[in-house]
Amino acid sequence: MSILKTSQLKKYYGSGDTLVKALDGVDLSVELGEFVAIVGTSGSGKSTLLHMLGGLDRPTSGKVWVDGRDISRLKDEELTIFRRRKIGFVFQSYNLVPVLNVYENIVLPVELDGNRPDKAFVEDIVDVLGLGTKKFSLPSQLSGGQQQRVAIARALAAKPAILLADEPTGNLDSVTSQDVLSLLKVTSSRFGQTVVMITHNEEIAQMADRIVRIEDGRIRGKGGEADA
Amino acid sequence: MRKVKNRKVIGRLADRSFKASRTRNVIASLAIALTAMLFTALFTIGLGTVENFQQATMRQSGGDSHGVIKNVTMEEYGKLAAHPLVKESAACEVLSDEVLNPEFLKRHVELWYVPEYHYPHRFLTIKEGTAPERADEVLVDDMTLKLLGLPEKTGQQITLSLQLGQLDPLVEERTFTVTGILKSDPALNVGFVITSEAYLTEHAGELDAFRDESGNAIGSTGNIQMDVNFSNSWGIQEKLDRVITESGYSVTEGDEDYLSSNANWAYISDGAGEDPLTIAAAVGGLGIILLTGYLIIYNVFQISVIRDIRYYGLLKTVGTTGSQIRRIVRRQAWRLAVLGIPAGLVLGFFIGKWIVPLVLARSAYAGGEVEVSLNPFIFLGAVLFTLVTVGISTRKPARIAARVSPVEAVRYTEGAKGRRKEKRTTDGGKLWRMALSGLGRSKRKTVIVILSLSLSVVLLNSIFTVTSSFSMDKFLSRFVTSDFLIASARYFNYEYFGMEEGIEEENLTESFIEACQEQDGFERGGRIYMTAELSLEASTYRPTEHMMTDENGDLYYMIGSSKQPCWQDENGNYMASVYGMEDYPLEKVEPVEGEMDLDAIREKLATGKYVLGQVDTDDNGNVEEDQIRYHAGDAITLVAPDGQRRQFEILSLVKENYYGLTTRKGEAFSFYTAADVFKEMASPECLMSYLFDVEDDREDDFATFIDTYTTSQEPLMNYESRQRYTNEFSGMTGLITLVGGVLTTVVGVIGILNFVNSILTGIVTRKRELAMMEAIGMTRRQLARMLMLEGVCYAGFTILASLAAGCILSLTLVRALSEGLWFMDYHFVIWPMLLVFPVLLLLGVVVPYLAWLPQRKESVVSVISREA
Repeated sequence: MSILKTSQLKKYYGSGDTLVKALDGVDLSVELGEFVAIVGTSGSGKSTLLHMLGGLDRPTSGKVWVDGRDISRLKDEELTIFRRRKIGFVFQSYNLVPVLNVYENIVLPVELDGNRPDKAFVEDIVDVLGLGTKKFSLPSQLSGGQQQRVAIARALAAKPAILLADEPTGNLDSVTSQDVLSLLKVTSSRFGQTVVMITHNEEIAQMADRIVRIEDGRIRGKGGEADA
Repeated sequence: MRKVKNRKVIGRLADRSFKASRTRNVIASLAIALTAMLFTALFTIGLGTVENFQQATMRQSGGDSHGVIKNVTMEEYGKLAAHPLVKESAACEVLSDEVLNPEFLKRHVELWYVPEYHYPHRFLTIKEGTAPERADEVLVDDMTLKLLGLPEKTGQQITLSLQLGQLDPLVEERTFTVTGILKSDPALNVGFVITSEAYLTEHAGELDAFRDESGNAIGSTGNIQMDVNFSNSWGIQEKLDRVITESGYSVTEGDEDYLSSNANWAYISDGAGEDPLTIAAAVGGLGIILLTGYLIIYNVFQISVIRDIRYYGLLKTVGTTGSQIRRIVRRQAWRLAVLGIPAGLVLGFFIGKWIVPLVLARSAYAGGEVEVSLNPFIFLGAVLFTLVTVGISTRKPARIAARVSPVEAVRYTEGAKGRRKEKRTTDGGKLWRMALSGLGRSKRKTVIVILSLSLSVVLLNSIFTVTSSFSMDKFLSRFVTSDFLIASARYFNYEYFGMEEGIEEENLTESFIEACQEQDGFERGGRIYMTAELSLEASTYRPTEHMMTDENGDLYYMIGSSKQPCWQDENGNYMASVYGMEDYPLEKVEPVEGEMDLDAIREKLATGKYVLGQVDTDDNGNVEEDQIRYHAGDAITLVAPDGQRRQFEILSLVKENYYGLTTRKGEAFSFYTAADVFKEMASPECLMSYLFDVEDDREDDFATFIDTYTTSQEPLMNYESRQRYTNEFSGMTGLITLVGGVLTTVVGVIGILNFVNSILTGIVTRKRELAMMEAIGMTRRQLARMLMLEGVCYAGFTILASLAAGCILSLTLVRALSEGLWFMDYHFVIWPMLLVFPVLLLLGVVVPYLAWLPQRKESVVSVISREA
């Protein structure tokens, strides 16, 4: 069953001479528990695609279904709530709240939703990601790799339907990148988590179950459908 | 080190980054403008008041000449005027000891000769006609004509009744033709009639008759005063002394050729300079303005520097030195100052100009024309102080910008200095906790905003504490005994003496009393008689322990540190003031010893066997124990001029009621008896005053009636009303409220600006963070709530801080101030603060909301991708 599906997804910026077709009819579907890497050069439209998938931006036309729901129809406020329940984000620049400690950052989306965090689950994530000793540290005291691991933990804490990672290793050196990615992979299989990751790094992409290549706003080849 | 020409590039960098921060510029230049405005207003009020005091003093002293050498002969004048130090001089001559026309009783008129060239220095302005030429021609001021009941027309004749000489006076009726009309000065309660030089020749013999053999006048008639002007007003008395001694005269009193002189006091005392309270208030005012200005300008720059810290780091990376960066920051500050100061100067001047007359109206110089000149010192001072404030305020932010290391700058986020190791909490994700943490990011900024807001709240509360501590009752109780007090104009000039000879010139007329009694709204009243003809028999008087005897055996008592003798008449008896009161004033006495019941007092006084003895009171109306000169139960004997004696027992001691029940002269021995008893001993002509009440809603009408009556019917009579003192009181509190209100408002506006700035920059600098929060699922509503909670936290801390500071200040400083003044009754007041708190909370909610509105339109993606 597809947990994530798009149909004829289009996103245009500007108009007339300056019309930019960032996405030009993307059909993509991702199965539950899959680890998909979207690869493309800069300007290929991969970030735009991710923003559409995560409900951060609205398509010009086409549809996005997450967990069976058409998110392009949701209102702003509903979309935000949907996002914090169903989608976990990992950004290139970590984006942790500087005044909250590691633990607080991790449980923030859950608390924003007005729920009590599942403590055992959070502890589990923290352990898996090797953050046990850093639970009360502030982001400014962590290294880049550690910060990104916190971001991953935060993305997982709400038990989302999909985890979207936007160049998660973009700011890290290659050794740390490998580390973070292995952890992402481990957690993905351990918690049965669907992961969609964007990268321009082929080597990194190789770790995914499936690679989708995107070029000039379209999917190249047949990567759009899950292997049977 | 080589000197490099980099001024231009630094200027360009500064100007470019200047343009990039518009919000900061608006707020900072507003703040600077307000600071400059406050300084200008303060200086305008200060200098304007001093200037007007000086002007008024000059007018009261009769001119703007630097000094005067008194009672000279024309020969002496010639020598003195030739002295090189003397730049200008004039021989002015007094031509009579008094002008006796009865119309001039309330406002004396003086007859002078003043040389025409000297008119401006004596503030003599001819508004119509010309200067006199012939001996019987004069200039008269308009008010004098009005008092004489004459129109303001030249060519008419006036007759003056002149008293020539003092000891052996000669009264002369003299008629003059009016050639010109002078503008009278409302600040000066004296009229002038000015003659021509011809008068001096025509009446030379008469004037000489009142001079001694050396040619100096004995009294006022023929007294020549030499007005002197030097090139400047420094060291006037020394110059006068030099002129006198170097012209061959002496400055030592008692010498044969002694000449008395004095500097115009307008140049010595500026009316405010020496008063420590005024100085303290001025310094306090300067301090508060400086602090207010500092709090906001500092904060604005601090925030802007921290926001642009990466930019400064970048500049450092490419080779800009610390001092160059400091120059960039400073240059922006000066540019903002250039923008803000002029507006502040103009606004401040007009505010000051508006307030000065109100300040002066409360002073002794009320009634004069008030002018506030464009004194350059006002603006110089304001500019200087504003620049100093800007300088102090930008020092630290400039240093921070200068010190930043290129590497750190990239990582520099507010409050992210690794001071705290860990934060062992797990509920930081709650909205209000996040809001609180938001405040904690830059503690300094937060503290300054809170201080800045609290300052105005505390100021407001203190001002209201002071004004509400002004006790109208206390104030009135000192001055007012009844709705109205009527008496002869002389009484109000402290000239009711109570001697039977000449009593008709100083007593109250029965006709005036009747007129008042017949007027609608009159309720009840009573007469007070007073005579000074009776004395206290020395042989039967038993002095208390507070009376002392000096080496001659004479009694005296102490007032403070000065020795006060008890005056004796030719028989050795002590001079006493004896009052006779009708029932109404008698009900107003306040017994403190002996019989306390007012009914019993009235009945017993009517028997003619008792009197009440008066005891002095201090400013607060408390009996001055060490001034008690007799006790209840003492027997005293009053002696009439014809030797008749009458014995009384002192029934009770009553508090002195200076403004209501006495001659207002302060006497050693004052006794009260009933009016009927009084009339057995002294003439009923000795009618001092009449106190009465009117119906409450008729007070205005009554005042109008008496006002007209005392100008048209009986101009020698005058009055005082409760209303007059009420107005004086509300005028005083009103002024403090006004000045305080203006100050509080401006300080408050500055506080709010500071708050707006820090909220606004807080949101702008965290734009990305906020967008990211939205990305991970914080709804916009939650974001807005968090920001508003931050605002509420600011308000909350401000409330706590101002409550604490306001209460402490109120209980210490304000209380001390309030208890120092007799008409103040300290009350702990907190409602002004409580009233402001909801406003603060509202601001705390509204400001972040409004600041966030424009931000929320931007999509999360654009923020994140733009700033990544």
